[in-house]
Amino acid sequence: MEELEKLRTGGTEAVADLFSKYRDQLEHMIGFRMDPRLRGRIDAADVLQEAYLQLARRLDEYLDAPKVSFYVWMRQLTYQTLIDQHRLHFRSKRGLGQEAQKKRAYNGTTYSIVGRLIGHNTTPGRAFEREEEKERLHQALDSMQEVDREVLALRHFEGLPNKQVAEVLGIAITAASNRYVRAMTRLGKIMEEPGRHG
Amino acid sequence: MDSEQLNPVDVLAAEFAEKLKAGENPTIDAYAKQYPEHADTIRAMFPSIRMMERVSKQERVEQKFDRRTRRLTGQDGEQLGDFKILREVGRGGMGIVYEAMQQSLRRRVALKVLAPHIADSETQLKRFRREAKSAARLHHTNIVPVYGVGESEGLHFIAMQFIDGVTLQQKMDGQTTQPDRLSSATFIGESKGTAPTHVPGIADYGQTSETATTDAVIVPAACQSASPLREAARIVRDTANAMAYAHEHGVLHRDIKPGNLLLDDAGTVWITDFGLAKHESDEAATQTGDLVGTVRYMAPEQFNGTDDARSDIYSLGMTLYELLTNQPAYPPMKTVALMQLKTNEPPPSPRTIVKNLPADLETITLKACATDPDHRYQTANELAADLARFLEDRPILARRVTPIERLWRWAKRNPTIAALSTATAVLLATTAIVFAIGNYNTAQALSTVEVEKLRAETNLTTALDAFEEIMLNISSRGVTQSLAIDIDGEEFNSATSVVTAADADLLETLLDFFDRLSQENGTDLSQKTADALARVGAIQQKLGRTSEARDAYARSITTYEEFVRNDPQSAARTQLARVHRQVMKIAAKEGDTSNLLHHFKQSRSLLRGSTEPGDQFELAMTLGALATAVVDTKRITETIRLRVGPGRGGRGRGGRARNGGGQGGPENRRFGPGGGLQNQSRPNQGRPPRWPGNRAPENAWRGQLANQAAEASVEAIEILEQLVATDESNQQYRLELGRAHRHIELHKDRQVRIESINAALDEFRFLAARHPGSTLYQYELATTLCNREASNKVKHAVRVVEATRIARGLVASYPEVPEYEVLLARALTERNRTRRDGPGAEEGWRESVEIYRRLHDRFPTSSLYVLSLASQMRSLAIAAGFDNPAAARLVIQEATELLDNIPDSQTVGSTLPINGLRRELENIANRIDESQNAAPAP
Repeated sequence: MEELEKLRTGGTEAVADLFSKYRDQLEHMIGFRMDPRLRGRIDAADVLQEAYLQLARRLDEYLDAPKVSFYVWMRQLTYQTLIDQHRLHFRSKRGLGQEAQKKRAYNGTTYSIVGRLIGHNTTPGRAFEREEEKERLHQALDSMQEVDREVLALRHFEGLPNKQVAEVLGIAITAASNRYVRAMTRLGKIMEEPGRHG
Repeated sequence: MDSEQLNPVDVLAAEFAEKLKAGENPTIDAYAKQYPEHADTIRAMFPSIRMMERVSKQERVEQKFDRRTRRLTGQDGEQLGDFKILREVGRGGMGIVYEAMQQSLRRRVALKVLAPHIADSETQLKRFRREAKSAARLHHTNIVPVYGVGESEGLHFIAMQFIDGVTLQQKMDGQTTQPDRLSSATFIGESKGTAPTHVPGIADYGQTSETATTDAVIVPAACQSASPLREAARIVRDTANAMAYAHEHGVLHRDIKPGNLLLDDAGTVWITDFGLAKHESDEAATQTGDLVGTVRYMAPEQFNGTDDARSDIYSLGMTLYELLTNQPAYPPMKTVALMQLKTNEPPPSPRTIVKNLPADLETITLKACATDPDHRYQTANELAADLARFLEDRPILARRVTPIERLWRWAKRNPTIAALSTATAVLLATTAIVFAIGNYNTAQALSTVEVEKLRAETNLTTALDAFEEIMLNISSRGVTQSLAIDIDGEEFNSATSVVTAADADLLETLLDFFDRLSQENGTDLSQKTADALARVGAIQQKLGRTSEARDAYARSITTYEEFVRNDPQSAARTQLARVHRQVMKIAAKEGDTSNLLHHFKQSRSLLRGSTEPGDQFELAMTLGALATAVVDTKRITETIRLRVGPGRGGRGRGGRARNGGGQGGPENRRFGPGGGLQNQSRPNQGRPPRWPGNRAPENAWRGQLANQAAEASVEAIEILEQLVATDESNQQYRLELGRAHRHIELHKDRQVRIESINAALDEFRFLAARHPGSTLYQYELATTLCNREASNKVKHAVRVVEATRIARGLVASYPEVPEYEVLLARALTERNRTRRDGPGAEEGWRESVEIYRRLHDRFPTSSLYVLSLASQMRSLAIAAGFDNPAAARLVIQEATELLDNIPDSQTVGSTLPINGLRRELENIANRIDESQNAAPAP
């Protein structure tokens, strides 16, 4: 693996290099996974900084026996850091599970409607449609099994390729791929349920 | 890494997603076509992929903006030009507000940094600067001064005076204790060590949880002393004064709401964000977080993009309403529904919420937020002056809106005001006088009981007459004057109803009047109340307000039952049976079989004992109601199955609509049954479809219910034939007899069905010939002619031609009545089916498409019409298919767009599977493509 080679030989500079390469992606993951109630209290930059310290500390341990690709490992550290921050703030063992997911579904309405209504070229209907689509999607995802939901979120919200999804979830590549196809098909069905339109 | 390990569709899905990410617009069709072996999976999966990528992108943009601006907040003492950022104080639709220090002038400012979507557009920016400049010219003690606009490091901002205080929104939130909010406030205090003694609120602030308010700061000292109601009046008076000043300088606010009104420590109110709201713009991801929150304060005319000074007054009226009642004027609901409600109905009386609210304050509030701008205060000064009068305990200028005025306003909002006859007008005037006398009398307390009673009865009669007249007016808007015979007849879909919610509310108002009268006067009148309740139930039912209708009916039933207990022979017995019949209709619409049968039996047993012709007729109607319910349910089931069928592996044997009302149909056959790909080579392709009339009804309808309904129809026919024999001139008997004959389509025996439909035709022809002026009979006749239940192909074609001719006549004479257009479309659909292989098929479909297009234009919110339109377009595409592929594609595209643009909110309560139709359209498009690639069809 090219990246690992670079890390083994390049020292801290290589780590910093790779880290900044993935910084945007990680930052997006944090934004996506963060409980909306914590936005504005926790800064993604703080989480990243903390994650970076962890990374530097545990790099050797990782390089000795890399089980997953570098990005997935980095993501895990970052995710763990984020969970720790959540626990700190909520003072409970609550993770980033169902509740955070639910909250975010209703946090979806972030568009300002006034401009759309008064503005000249958009119809209100379309604007609502998009907002409601978003809300509907999150509700549909919430109604799915956790693994299915995760597969879909990792692929499309975090933009990971199947191989890395498999690594994150700790399942075989083929299993992840099949799971993805099934989950997406199921999502399609859920979105089509007539009741969903109401 | 090894693609062989991957699910083959996954590889395609990943590629598809990549393309979407790269901003390309790959079509699902192309994939399905290129990989036919995975076509089904692709079609099931890819729409969701597209949706997820779309949502994901949207969220990415939002988060990016979020991070970008938050970084500015993160560090202390960050500089932005001349301004030293102290802290973030709020986020709004336009951007983020910071408390900052302007170093050159050493003054504290509120700095509003514009969201990139405003700052990025040159025209937006120009407009924003211009507006900010005019806002900067406003100097008023109750308007937050704007210092100016600036730009630094690519960030655009506006600087204004920093106000120590809270927004009215926060103040109200503080009053209704919210544990959530308090805990988050506590949390902030601990984590950042900032005790928020002053929360300077700026626009839209207060919607994210980080805007901490602790109970110590919520109510400024000035507010605690005065009565909260008077305090609210004072705040709004001052705001109105400031608003008047701004309006005189030609500046509208456009976004007045509690979140934009600040209250400082001295209790002074400040309006912020003057003239800025309209720059909140399209595509941007911002953080207002409250879609409905803004619509909540908007005036109805703003939904159409127009506004003037009176729109600001409306928003201030809404604010006043909330300050007084501590709750929104309209209950929270979906945005589109809220917009419709605000357009159609005034808010409920605030005094129903706050009992001790002074009547004058209520009058002022309701005048400020009248639906029609002409009914509002015309200037902010007038509003301020009336509030000042109230505060000084002087009489206000605004008058209360009397019930009768509400009546007039309702009539005016009604587009068919012309339909209001002179008789009605006279009655309304009379009622107005009676109302006036009534009020006078209650105040004076009449001396003799007799006079009192006489007056009450006169009032009641007049009110009842008015009630009837209004009902008649409503029904004449619906179809024809004759429909008043049975206003609640189920003929027309509630989606197309011209009855408005305002009608129902008006009638409810009259109902209160009945209630009051009956309380004053004994049992005689309470039966009339029960009558009125039943009528209101019918109206609510027509409006689709099912639960309100059920409530009204239930109350009515209880009242009637008491009468029947006291006097088994009373006339209430018949009434009671009627109400049970109405409830049957509700149960039928909801598919509630057990309630349907329960009320059917109740109604029937009340009527069966009587030999009175009137009761016999009622009994026939009840029997007919059961038949109608079953027939309708059957039809709906068929329609839905038909729509879902194609594209799902041929689950529904498409193209076998019996009476699909124009949806789907045998024309599908041209592309194979069900349109499913795998069905292409079935041997029956090209054969004419089996004529539905030959087949016994579907299994589900062969059941007990269908039998009961068939028996009921037979019984109804017997009764009605006797009635007609005794009174040949009675139109109602004949009308019902005709309908009963038509409803017998559930009968197992085809011969019975044929005879019955023929008998129905005879009745309607007879009636139509006798009463050439009545459109109702023509309508019934044409409807029956369209019935394919019991005629052979040739006869059917002939009948459909006649139906088409009648329908054309009706549409030409009454272009305003949507039901006639629907009838015409249905006749055309039938006609097109019969001539599907001959010439003119395409043109035929084109005409029915045009009809639904007109209906859709007139009633854009009716999902029924838009679905019918799309469905007709589908048929047109099939008809045009091989001969005119370009036109077909165009039609398919338009239909798909129509379906795409149906807002979710419009499918409420409906189970119509839009997606099924959408898939069908895709299939047809594929077929056309395929047929072009292959040898062209002969």
